[in-house]
Amino acid sequence: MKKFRLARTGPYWVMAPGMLLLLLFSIYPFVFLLKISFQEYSPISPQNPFVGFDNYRTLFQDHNFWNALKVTAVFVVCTVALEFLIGLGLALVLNRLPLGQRIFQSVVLLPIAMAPTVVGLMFRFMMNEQYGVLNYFMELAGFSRQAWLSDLHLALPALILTDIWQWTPFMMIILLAGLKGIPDEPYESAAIDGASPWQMFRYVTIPQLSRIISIALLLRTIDAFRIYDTIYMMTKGGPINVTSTLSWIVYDKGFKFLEFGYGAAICVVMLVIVVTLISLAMKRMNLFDEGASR
Amino acid sequence: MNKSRFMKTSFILMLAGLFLLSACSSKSNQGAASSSAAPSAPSAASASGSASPPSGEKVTLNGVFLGATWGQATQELAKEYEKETGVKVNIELVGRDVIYQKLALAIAGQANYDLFNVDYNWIPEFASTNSLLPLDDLIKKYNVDTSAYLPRALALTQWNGKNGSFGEGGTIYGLPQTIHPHLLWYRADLFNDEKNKADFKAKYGYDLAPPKTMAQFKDAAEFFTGRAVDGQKMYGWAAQATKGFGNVHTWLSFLYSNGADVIDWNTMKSSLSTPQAIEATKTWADLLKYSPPGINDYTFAEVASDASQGKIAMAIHWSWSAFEVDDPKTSKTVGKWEFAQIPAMKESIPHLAGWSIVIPKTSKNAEEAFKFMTWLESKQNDVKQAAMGGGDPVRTESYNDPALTGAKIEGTDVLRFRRYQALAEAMKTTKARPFFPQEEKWESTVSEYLSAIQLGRMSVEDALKKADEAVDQMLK
Repeated sequence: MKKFRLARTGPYWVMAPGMLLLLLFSIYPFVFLLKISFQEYSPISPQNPFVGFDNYRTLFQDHNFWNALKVTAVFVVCTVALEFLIGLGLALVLNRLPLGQRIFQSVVLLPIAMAPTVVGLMFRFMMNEQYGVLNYFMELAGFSRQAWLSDLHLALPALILTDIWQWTPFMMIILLAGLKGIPDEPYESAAIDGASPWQMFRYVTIPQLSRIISIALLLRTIDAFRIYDTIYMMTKGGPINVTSTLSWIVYDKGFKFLEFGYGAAICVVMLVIVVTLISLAMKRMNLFDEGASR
Repeated sequence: MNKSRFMKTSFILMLAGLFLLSACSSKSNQGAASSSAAPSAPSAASASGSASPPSGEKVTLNGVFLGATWGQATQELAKEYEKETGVKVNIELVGRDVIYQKLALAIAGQANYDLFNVDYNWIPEFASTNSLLPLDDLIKKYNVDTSAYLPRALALTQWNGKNGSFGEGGTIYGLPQTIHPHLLWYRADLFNDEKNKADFKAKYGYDLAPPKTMAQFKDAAEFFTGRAVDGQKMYGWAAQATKGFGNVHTWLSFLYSNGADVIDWNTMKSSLSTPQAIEATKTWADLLKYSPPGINDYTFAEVASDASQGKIAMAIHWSWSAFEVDDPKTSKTVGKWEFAQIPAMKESIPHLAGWSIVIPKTSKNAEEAFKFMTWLESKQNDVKQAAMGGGDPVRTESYNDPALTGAKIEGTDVLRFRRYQALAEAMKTTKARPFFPQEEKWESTVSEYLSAIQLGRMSVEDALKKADEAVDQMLK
């Protein structure tokens, strides 16, 4: 009887410490965030009155919010798509590299190890209109110098380029791990059936890799949504507001002007968007569906 | 079925508990905040009295300063203070944004700091929420002579509850640590060059001299743009122009010098569309074409860098930053720059920047913090900070101190602080940023529209009209 009870309650006891930590560091902050999104909340204000949906109403009427939403969408779609394509290409090449695979892997991984602020500063210097090395090579190649970070049409692509430089290796390493896990048998069967390299890639590699691809895309999408440090170092949301993402306006409202309530409302909306997108994607990809893994 | 009910009940209980927890924590915060914001502010002496540590206990002060030259000087001087008094002063050097966040945390009672180095525009914001320690009683108690400070430097630390420019006559919430008004920087060697003089006169019909009016400034900027000096293509001038604060800071000098103000302080309505403001903004935006490429991305660091690398003939820049062009290790233009009043449109009214030191009301060592602050800004240490390469002094007498006025750049006969004469003159007319609690937000709002003007996205009139609307909306 005792054994039976322990078997029934045991898993809960094992999970308890983890749940407690989750409660403290994830769920409690979220509930607090949700609560202050309905308040006019500032840490230095003597009173933080409840204002109902005022923060949300203001938010949906704020042109800066709609602009930030558009900028974030463009940034996320462009970075994740390009990082995936380049990362997949690199992973395929690396997987077939006969020599120096490990050294190459270590070198390629360096950008991930760097702090985004350092990367931002480095690219800010590299993209400087006068002294930047990027413009030096542009001139060598016969192009004119560009104001990468202060041009309305180039600032966002410059940020996208920086993000691609830093995070493509992440995509690559996940996809490479997936490629290494594909057994040889399907390829051998395909070869016997006379499949071309493209057919092997399309009908063997991609299906075998699909779950890894889904996870990689999911992780990068979540991360790209939160971009902030690089913007802080490179453009500060400018010129005008062409690189002002949702995270940037959260910082602007929340930490620069101490409008925590309004900032929290933006965070909640952001969270709803990300969770909805991810839930839809996960459902479509059958990511955690047991049957699909078999 | 039972299991599912158990799970549901647990979940609801957990959620309810969390709501309760978050409500409690917010209440306790509010309680702390409201107690610190009691309608009648406690006197500094009583506040400090209750906040002083028991006698005999060793005091350690914690301060947060800007990681600029004056912050570094403070860190060095704090060691001397410890030797003299036994009071240890930990100085954290951080960026501007981090200071603001730490000050907010300290005020909310969630960080333990005694001193903050603040950009002066934060003083109305934090003083109006009763978050800073008023110093008037401590000043009386320790007989601190505040008349020794430059009047406009001291006025940056005061708040009289009235929006406008400066807080003159109001409660003193801090002591100034450094000031730096905009000055006109010009390359004396280029302005005195005989060929340049002859060419300029031939083209414009009058003698080349440091410009006194904005029309002369435009001619000089145009004249030098594109000229080659030591094999390098020159540009007429540079100034901060980046979105954020840079463009607002430079533009304010143009605006003030044309007799405009940004807000009608009687009606509290934005006044950016006045003919004077439009004219000043057009002049500023038009002059940017004589600046180096990428000017719209220039922070103060790029301006100083171009000046020290000999790329520009003039700059409208902070007085303090001049040390960078006189550093033989990094500058190609050591001793070549001179300083004058910024060119007048109607008159010369430079925009004033400055950093002060304040004590949050939550400090547990307020009186000791005040003693350190007065020691740091004493006659001797005001000069010492400047000599150490800190900020420009805040006491009137320091500008005549031979230790500074006679100091020369190492290995040269050029006076190290030759800017002081122009600086002292500028301090007579200089004007602060709009002095009101929402200043930071105001700057951010206006900066976006100025950025649109710089990039040709909006005409000056349209942008200022839109900025007016946005500011009025913000002030509601």
